[in-house]
Amino acid sequence: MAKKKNKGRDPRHKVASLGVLPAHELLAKGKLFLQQEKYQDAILCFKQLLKQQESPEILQALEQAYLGRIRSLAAKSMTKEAMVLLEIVAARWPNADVLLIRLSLLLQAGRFGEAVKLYGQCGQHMASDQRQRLEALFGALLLAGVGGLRPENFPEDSPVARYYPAALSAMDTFFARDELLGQEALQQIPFRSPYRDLRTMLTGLLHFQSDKDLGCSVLRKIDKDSPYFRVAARCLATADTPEGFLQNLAATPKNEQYQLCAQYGVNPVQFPVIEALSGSDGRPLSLYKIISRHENCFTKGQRITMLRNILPFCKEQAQGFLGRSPDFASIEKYRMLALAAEKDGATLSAVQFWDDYLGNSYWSDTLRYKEIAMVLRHQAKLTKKDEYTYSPVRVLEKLLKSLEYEPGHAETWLEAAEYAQRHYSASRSYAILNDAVAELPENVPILVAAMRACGARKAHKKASSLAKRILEIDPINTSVLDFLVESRLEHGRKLASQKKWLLAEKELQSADTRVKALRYRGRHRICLGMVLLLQGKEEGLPHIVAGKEENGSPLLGHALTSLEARLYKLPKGRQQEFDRQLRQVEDSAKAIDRSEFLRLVNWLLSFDGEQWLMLKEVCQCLTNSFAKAAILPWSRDEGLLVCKALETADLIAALTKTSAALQKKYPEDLEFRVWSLVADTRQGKKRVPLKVYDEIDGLLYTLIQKNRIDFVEYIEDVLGKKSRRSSFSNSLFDDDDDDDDDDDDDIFDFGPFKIPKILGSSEKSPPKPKSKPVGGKQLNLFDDEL
Amino acid sequence: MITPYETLEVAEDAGDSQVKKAYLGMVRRYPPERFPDDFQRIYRAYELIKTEDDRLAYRLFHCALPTPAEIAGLLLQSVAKKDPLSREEFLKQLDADLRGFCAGLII
Repeated sequence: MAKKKNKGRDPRHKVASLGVLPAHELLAKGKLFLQQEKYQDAILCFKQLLKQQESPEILQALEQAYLGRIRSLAAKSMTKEAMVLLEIVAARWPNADVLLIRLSLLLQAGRFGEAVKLYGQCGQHMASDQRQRLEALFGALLLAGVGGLRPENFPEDSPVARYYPAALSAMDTFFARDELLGQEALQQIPFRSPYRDLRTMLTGLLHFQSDKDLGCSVLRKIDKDSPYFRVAARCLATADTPEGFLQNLAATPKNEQYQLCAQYGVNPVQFPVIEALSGSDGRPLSLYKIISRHENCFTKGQRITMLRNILPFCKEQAQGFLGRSPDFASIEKYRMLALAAEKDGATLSAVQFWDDYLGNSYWSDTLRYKEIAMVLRHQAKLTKKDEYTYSPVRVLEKLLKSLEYEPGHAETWLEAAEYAQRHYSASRSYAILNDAVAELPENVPILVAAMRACGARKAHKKASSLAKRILEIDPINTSVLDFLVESRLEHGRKLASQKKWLLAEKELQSADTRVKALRYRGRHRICLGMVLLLQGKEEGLPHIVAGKEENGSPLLGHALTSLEARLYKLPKGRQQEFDRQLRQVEDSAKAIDRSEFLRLVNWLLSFDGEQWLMLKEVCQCLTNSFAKAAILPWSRDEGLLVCKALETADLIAALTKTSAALQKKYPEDLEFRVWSLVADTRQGKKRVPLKVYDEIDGLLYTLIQKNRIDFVEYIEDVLGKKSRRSSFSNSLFDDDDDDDDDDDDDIFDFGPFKIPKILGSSEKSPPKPKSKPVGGKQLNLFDDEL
Repeated sequence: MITPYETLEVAEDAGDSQVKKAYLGMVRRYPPERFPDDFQRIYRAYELIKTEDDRLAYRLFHCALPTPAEIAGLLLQSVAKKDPLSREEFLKQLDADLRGFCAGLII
């Protein structure tokens, strides 16, 4: 296609059009062009005018037009063109002032040697600020060794040459990384020397290593016109985070963004992707699009790393993207799809993708067994999470399968055993633990779990042998020491119940009660006394007295005696005798021992099964002490435990008193108000006003918002128990007791806790041994109660 | 977006002792009292790949959505570069800067 000619910009056309103008019009036009900085047009005008008439005024105007044109070319870095015109001017007007522009052009052209020489000739005629700028530039050029400049190129008395050794020495010491010497050397550079900015920059860099903020504040002092500005700007950029850079970029005008990127060291090819990132909302899909659109800006490694991290967040779209991606092997694709499904909450799909991942694995590769086991464990974890397709069978299956690949993974053995205990049976759990012990005979947590399982199955001999094995590995394991004592005491009771007196005595004598826990101290002697009493031997009594003394706490020693009398099923007369002694001790005590009382509270909350039931009975002998407990100065946490224990032991009068006192002491803590109301519902009144339940409901709702979930759940459980025996419920519903209509629950909505299934009095089940107090781990108040 | 292996400057197939050695080396280079942020970054990286199980779990299950800035960080070599300038680098940069500076200079 032929190029369209612009008549207005064609010089020949212009000359032709100018040729017809009279001289005075040409002069006026030329001066106007000069004013408008249209130097090329001005030159044409004045040249045309010179053809008509020659005058000094026109020659001077032409000289000005040429000089203007040279400057405009220099400003556009058209150095060669400017040089040609400069030579024309110099030849035509030998006296023209072209030194500065010549110097600029020499520097632009990189002819530094000639520039230095010219500066030597004209330097003294320059303004002082121009001179300083040039000398700073020459100093920097000399230091960088640009264009082969050497100190000898400068006159000896010039500041550039004079301070050069000091500047060089400062650079040397700075790069030798000697901070102290570096600072000293920098001080040798005078402030008024051409190396002033070098001094500022090196000082900034020196601080930069230890104190970035200080370093940056020093570096910012370097002016934009300084030759060191770009180095300083780059250092400042390194102090900036990528976030800061992107923010800067977003705030920078479009036409300056490229320059900013260059300053940060961004490759021009990468500019579009940086630009896209600065405007990105950060969502997975938009990040994926940026990366796939600009994939050439990244190395393959970078791209893979990014996609690995982005695609799992692309949810269901990940599958489509991965299908198109040639970067990943199929096994890797399944892994990423599984992660994407997990992120999407599709646990079932995730488990299936992990199955596919394993299906693609080399199952015979023993090096990958660990990986397979880890994936199987992960699948078990996911299966547990999936509430719709949750299946305990599959969870346990996965866990046990993972153990086939990694039998040394103790945590999984324990998890599987615990899971089997919770969802299958104790015997399944026991079997798993037996396998675990066979696999890891030296692993203390496994041995401890197996020991406890044996204890629960009343396999005391096996439990003892496991405990001994643990103590060989960990001789100061206090929980095992305690367990060993507990196990022997329990075994003693079992043997005594079978009337194997000798064996029972032997077992009890072997119980090492040198343990710290007060609940076991002297207890074997008490038990021995019980065994003798059961045989009708009165010499059991001195043993019991000795046991109480060994225990050290009068109240607790007597409480343990009453407890053991019940556990050994001594005749009622004996039990009453021990209870009487307990009451005497309680009465003789002038004040309640705070720590003794707290221990009792702790036992109430931690004893299990039959022991807990019997202890509850024993506590009924101590009603006075429990009632007096209300006036003791409890901390908030202690107060909560005491309330809990009082409710557990059915000591409702004490609970009413204590919760009221604590409510007064801690008015901010709603928990005590709840306990107070719970006590009201347990007073044995025929009808509990509905407003009491309403208030509890409101308080529990507030507590849920305060994240006191454990407490709320505990209270719900307590009230559930209460409702089962409540006459209130019976009077409220006249319907048939067996009616399980869900509508009733909807009508009588009691907030966070529903009305439990209502049982008639005939359906009241006899009190069963409580498995464990609800509410998770108890706060242990004592050092010796482990 | 920088992997813990890159942070600790250790190979992906390194063993426990190599990872620990690399971690201690980095801590010596970036002591917490002088470089608290860098130290945190190094510590987090170490926690992710400390043991063989950790490294395996990292490879199998770890994914963290990068921010645009993290992706930009991969490209910003100068920003990511933490080591101080050497004399040669400094002079090279100064040379290039001065040529650029002079190219547009008008006195």
